[in-house]
Parts: sequence; C-alpha cells; structure tokens
Amino acid sequence: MKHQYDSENATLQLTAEGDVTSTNVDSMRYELEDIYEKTSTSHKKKWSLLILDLSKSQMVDSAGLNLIISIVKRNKASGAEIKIITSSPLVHRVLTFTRLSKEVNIVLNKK
Amino acid sequence: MSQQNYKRVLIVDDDKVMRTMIGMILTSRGYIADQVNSVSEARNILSEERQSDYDCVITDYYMPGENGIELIKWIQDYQPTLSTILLTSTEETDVIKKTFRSGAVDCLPKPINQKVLFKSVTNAVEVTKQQREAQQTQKSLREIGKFQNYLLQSKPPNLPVEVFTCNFPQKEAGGDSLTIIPVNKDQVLVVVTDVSGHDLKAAFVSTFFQGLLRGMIQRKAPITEILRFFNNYLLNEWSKLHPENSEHDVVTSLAVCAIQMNLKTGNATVINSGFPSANYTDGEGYHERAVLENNCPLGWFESLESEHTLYPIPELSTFTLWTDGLEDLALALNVDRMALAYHLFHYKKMGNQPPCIKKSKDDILLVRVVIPSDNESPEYYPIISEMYSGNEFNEVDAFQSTWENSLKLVIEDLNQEHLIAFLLCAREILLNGLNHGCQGSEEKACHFQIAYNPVDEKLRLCVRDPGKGHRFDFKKQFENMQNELVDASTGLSIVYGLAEDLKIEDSGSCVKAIFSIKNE
Repeated sequence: MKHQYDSENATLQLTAEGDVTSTNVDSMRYELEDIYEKTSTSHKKKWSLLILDLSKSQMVDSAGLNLIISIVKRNKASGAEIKIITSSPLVHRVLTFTRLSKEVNIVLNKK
Repeated sequence: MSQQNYKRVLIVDDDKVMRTMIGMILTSRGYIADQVNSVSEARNILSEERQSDYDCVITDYYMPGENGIELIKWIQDYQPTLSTILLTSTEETDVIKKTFRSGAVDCLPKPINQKVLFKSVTNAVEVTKQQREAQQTQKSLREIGKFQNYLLQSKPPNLPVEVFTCNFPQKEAGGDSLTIIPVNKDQVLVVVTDVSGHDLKAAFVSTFFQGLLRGMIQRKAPITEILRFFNNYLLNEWSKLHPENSEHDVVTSLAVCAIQMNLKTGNATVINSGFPSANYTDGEGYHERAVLENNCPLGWFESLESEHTLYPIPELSTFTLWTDGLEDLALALNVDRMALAYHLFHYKKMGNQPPCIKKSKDDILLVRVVIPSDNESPEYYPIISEMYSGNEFNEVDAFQSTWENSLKLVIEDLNQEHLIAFLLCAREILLNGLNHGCQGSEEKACHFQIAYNPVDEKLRLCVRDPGKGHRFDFKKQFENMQNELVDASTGLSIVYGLAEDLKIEDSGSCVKAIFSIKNE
C-alpha cells in the first residue's frame, strides 16, 4: 500500500496497488500500522483528511471490506474526515452494502 | 518402382559428349541411363513417365534456356522424393549454396571423377528409395487414419443413448478409439481407449482390441474378462513380438474406460483401467468425478484391478470421457478440464477448429454419452469441478486465475463486471467452506462446482463441504451491515448482496448461488 502525506492540507492518502482480498489484507494491516506510526512521528500535525484510493482495485472481498471498515473506524475516532475513491462499480457496490456510504464520502470515478 | 534390379537415371546436359560419357559410366555399373539435352525436355519426360520410373536425375548447371537449379526446384515440387545431383564447372559458392537450398542431394564439380560420380549416384538412389518408402508409409497412415476417424464418427443405429465425439489427432493414425456396442434395446456398452504412442503400432493395437472386444461381447464375455484377456495378451504375446525390448519393458499399454448402461434398471457401471477419471453429470448438471485409485492400463502388470463405480442414469445425465491429451492441454491453458471439454464440443458444433488446439501436444479424443429426454435439453452444463483441501485457502488467488481463464474460454463475451462479481462470490463461498466446513484441515475437502446455462445466460455456483454445517443468517447479517459499521462482515453476506439467488442446504454444508450474466 502506497502512502503520501500532504502536510499543508493535513491529508494522508493511502493507495491500494491492487485488489484488497483475503490473501493480502494481513500484510496491508502491518503496512498500515507502519504508515500510521511513521506519519504521526514525522509530522506534528495529525491528518484531518484520509483519502483511501482504491482506483486500482477491481475486487474487495469480505476480508478487504473488514480492513477498510477498521481503517474508517480508527480514523473517524481520531476525528479525521474520510474519502474513498474507486473506479470499479463492483467495489462501489460492495462498499455501499455496508453503512460505509452513510459514514464516509465514497466517490466512483469510472475509467 | 523401377525394374527390380536396374536403377534408372536421367542425365540432363546440353553437352552431348559429357552426357554420353556419364551415361556410359553408369551403364557400365548396371544403371539404365536416359539422356536429354535441356530442362524443358527433362520436364516433359518426367511429367510423362510414372512418378517412380526414375531413381535419380543428374543435371548440368549451365544450359541454354533454363538452368539446372530451376529443374531441381521443379522436381522438388513435382516429385519431392526423387533425388537430384547438380554438375557444375563453376567454383562459385553461391551456386553450391543454391543447389543445396533447392533440394539437391549432391553437387559435383566438372571434370567428372568416375568414382565420385558413382558414389554420389549410389547415395542419391538410396535417398530416393528411403523417401519413397517414407511417403508410402505416410500414405498408409493416412488411410488408417481415415478409417479410424470413420470408426470414431460412426454410431450404430437406434441407440438408446446419444453419443457425441470430438477427435483431434496429432498424427494421421493413433491409438485413441471409441467402440459403441448395443447389447439390446435397453443396454449399451461404450468403450474408449488410448494406446501408448502415435504410430502404426498404436493404431494396430487399438484396432486389434476393438475387433477382439466386439467378438468377445457377442460371445457374451464380461467386459472385465475381456480386459484381463487383453492384459495377458499385451504382457505375454505382444511383448514377445518385440525381442529388442527387455523382459521388464512395457512395449505397449492400453488405457481403457468402459461404461455399461442399462436403461431398464436406470444404472450405469463405469470400469476404468488407467484411463483419466470418468466424468458423471446428473440430470441437473451437478458433476462428479470417479476418482482413480490403484488402477493402471492394460500391459503393465499381471494383476489387473479395474475400478468399478455404479451411477444412476436419469434423463439428461451424462458421462464425459477424454484421453489424457485433454488433461495436458487444460494444464497448459490453466483452465478446468470440464471447461475445455465444453469449449471443444462448442467449436465442433459450430464446425470450427478451436484455436487452442494448436497448443496440444497429444491426441485428444473426447466422448460424451447422454441419456436422452423426450422433451428437454440440459439446463446447466458443468464447466468447473474441483476438490480443494481445507488447508489450501492461501492458494485461492491461483484457483481464481484458473476459474477466470475457464469462464473466459467458455463464455467468450463475458462482461468484465459480471466476471469479477462472480469471481468474488466464488472466492467467498469457497473460503467459507474451507474455513468452516473443512476447518482448514488437509484431510477434508470442498467440492467446488460452476455450471453454465447458455440459454438463460446464468452461472451456478455450488460448494459442498464435509462439515456438519452451521446456522448462519446471512440475510440478517446483511441488514446489520447496512445499519451498523461492523468490521466482521461475512463473505456470504456479500454473496447475498451480489447473487440473483443464494441458498444454503444440508444445514449449511452446501451453498448454492445463481448469477445472471446477461448484459443489460
């Protein structure tokens, strides 16, 4: 998972480089912990906006969905606004099965 | 062929002295030597004569009009088995290269050395002989192949079952065969074989077995007895015809699968000796593979243990059999064997050669036996059927890749969104079975099946696990997901949201889902 921090706008962008499924969520979870820790220590100001970019993901399964929800819950708890970007109608559909669509801004950018 | 003891050579040279001298040398050595003075005259005489009247042509390079290389090229097209020798006084390497490229056996410098000429002609005549024998063998193979193909396509009249075949041989003749013997109006025997090798020997063993089978069945011999008899024949008689092999060498083996169908009792017995597992599909398109254990082809060991399995045969139930060439091709294409079988039958129905067959390295014979129904045709055709062990959940990406290739092979215009949604659900249902039903154990396995309904454009997914099942209310879970931000969504809830229909049977140990793949 790639990440980018825009200190001027206090925005952390996380980009999944492919599908978010049972076979890679565990490694993504470790990567995320690392990203949170490094970003928090290197920047005094905590991000106020988290962008989760899933544009390169064609598939998000139940394990992936659970990871995304835990990301959302954790960041909402710390007061950040969350935006999820997807280019796949299927991923959009899976995300909107859940209450996520009421909690965060989900943007479908069809390619 | 030329007269038995005399080889005939045609000498082509505009120089009368030279061609007379060569003629005299060859005549003194027992050859019949005819002479012409130009390429056009040679062409006329070779066109008029019977193809095999000459054993060698010796031609000069430089002649008025057309040169010797042009004649050699013409002979290569017209009589490719006839050897040619070019005479040239030039030392140009270009001419020598062109000579061999055009198909000549030799290129001799002038002036002619008698010994060199004789050696070259002797060799050229031998090459012609070998090439003609090879051509004759090829012709015989083609004839046998035509006959084998006829046997594969021909079906006895008034059969109580429908039989469809696809045959993709690698060579003109081989050892794959299909024999259909109606025992009476209710009973039929279908036997498919695959003999090791792709040569005349394999074709002979295959044809011999078919004849023996027909004869012994007419004499009411049980199929198991016939297999035992032929096993003994291969081991004790056929192998003795090949003294070049050691006592322990397997000279020829024959894999065989026989299906005895009795429509009166509504049962079929499958007998298998070393053949790829028979594929049984019930009337609703659910697939079962008769697992092959401890059995081997005829011609390996003295003791022969053929596998027997009994199946009910309601209307529209099907047996699909294939030779191991199909298994190898499916592996090479990374597709399921059932998907490949469906694809090959589909192309045959359309009258086309499937492009993927070019990647096949072995003969493929595919046979489908269907119990007919008066007014219905099958709704669902199995296209993927695999057993996955409980500890294989980390391999799900590789499984998904095979499913994806298989679906694309069968449904060429499958919409990408439908495909990904279906694959997502297939993963979820399989992982559910591996984790809950098999509890991650290597000893337990899920039966994963995908069937295709081409008329209604639907896919059916069925995963059966050996567990006791568990109560899970995926509808309630789906509602919870929509009302609360739960981070423990289950795969089946997602499937419920994406599938047209989702059913759980046998207390939860069998999950079935239907998907529409119709483009809106």
